[in-house]
Amino acid sequence: MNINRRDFLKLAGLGGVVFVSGLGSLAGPVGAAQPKEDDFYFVQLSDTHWGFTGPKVNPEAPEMLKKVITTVNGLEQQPDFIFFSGDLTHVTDDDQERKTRLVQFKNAAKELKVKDVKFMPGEHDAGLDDAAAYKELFGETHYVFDHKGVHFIVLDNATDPRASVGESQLTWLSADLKRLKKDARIVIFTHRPLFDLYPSWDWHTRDGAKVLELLMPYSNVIVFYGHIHQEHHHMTGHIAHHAAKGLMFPLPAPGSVPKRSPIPWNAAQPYKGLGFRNIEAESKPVRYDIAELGMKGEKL
Amino acid sequence: MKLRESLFLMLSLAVAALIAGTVGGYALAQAKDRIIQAQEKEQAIQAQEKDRIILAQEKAQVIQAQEKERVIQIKAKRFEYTPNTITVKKGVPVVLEFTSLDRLHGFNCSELGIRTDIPPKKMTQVRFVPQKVGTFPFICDIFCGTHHADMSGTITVTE
Ligand SMILES: [Cu+2]
Ligand SMILES: [Fe+2]
Repeated sequence: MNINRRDFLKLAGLGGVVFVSGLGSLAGPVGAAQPKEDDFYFVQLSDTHWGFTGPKVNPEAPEMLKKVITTVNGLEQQPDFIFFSGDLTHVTDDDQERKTRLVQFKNAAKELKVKDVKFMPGEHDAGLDDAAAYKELFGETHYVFDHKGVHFIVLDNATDPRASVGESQLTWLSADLKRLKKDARIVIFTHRPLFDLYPSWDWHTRDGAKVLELLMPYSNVIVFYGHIHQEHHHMTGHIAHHAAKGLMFPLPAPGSVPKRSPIPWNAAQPYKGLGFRNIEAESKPVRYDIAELGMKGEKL
Repeated sequence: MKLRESLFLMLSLAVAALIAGTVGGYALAQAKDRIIQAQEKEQAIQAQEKDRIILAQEKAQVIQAQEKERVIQIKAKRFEYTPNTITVKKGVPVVLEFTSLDRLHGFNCSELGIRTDIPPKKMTQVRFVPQKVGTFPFICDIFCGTHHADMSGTITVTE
């Protein structure tokens, strides 16, 4: 299966980008009557932190966003869509400056070749003004969309400064899920982890357990998130959770050091710990092949 | 012996006896005083001793009360806790008294199961009894601004 996959991708003209088998590959039940759906791939970009300054952490901070966009535009086969999983901008206490950063980010994202670009906020974008500026520029902070047979749910666990999804969103989620078959292909996007990865560092969602409880009856659920600025893979029951790298500064492994301060820039290994990912969604069987890529688009 | 001489002798004897009696009585009285004084002194010492014991007992009770609940005041403000390193003893109850100097913060030491909102303009108390020895990080878990990520500290529990 893996070999076939790679062959397919080579034929599809992905060139240097080699797809590895996803760590969270899902082999759920597929109904025989299910129509053949197209396989496709999308790109997850996370934690671009536009507006961050700190030469010791990232001396190239002002160029990072352009670099990322150039790299994604350079992918031989362009993804069906691009998803930004929050912390588009870096936090500022100044409302006007926050808006400026969000506007600059939005304009920069227009340079992407792919025009189907979707966003969600992180706490840096939305946690201080109840997403006022974010909503004005990007619209709702939680929404659903469908793409080639996959149901995508964007869940906002960042606007609430207490890291909650909140009752009204839970009700909304529950109603949305009720419309779906138990074996529907569901992809969840969040900013924070939905499980207790490391609550001492705010790496959790306060009512994440309630979300997971609602998702448990569904056999084909996978979660992609950001916030922790590093790759991380975890299972809660049959649900896989995949954290993406950040694109401004990496953070230390959960609990590995006393403080969750950014890992300083290493001139010998620039961009180390930064990157993004391609996710290929396959329908038969249901699986997601994740390829982690570096700042130059190289396979990691 | 002549009667006169006999009378004189008798008188002398009587005087001598009287003197002796008086002197003896005086000495006796003095001795008695001394005994009373000694007794009083003893009582005074005993009373002092008793005071000392009561004082010591009271002091012990105070110490016990302190061990019963140690109060630690913590100030929260953007973007720090003061103090941010706290040391407590295993088994000794602790009261954390939080005050925010600016806005809403959230104290969270998840490994010890302690979390509370810290609203401004009021004191918030949290009681706990440290059960496990070690150093446990705490943070502000309500996103509060630019250096929110730096708003952290540790609670160390010693044996
Ligand atoms: Cu975040
Ligand atoms: Fe972030």
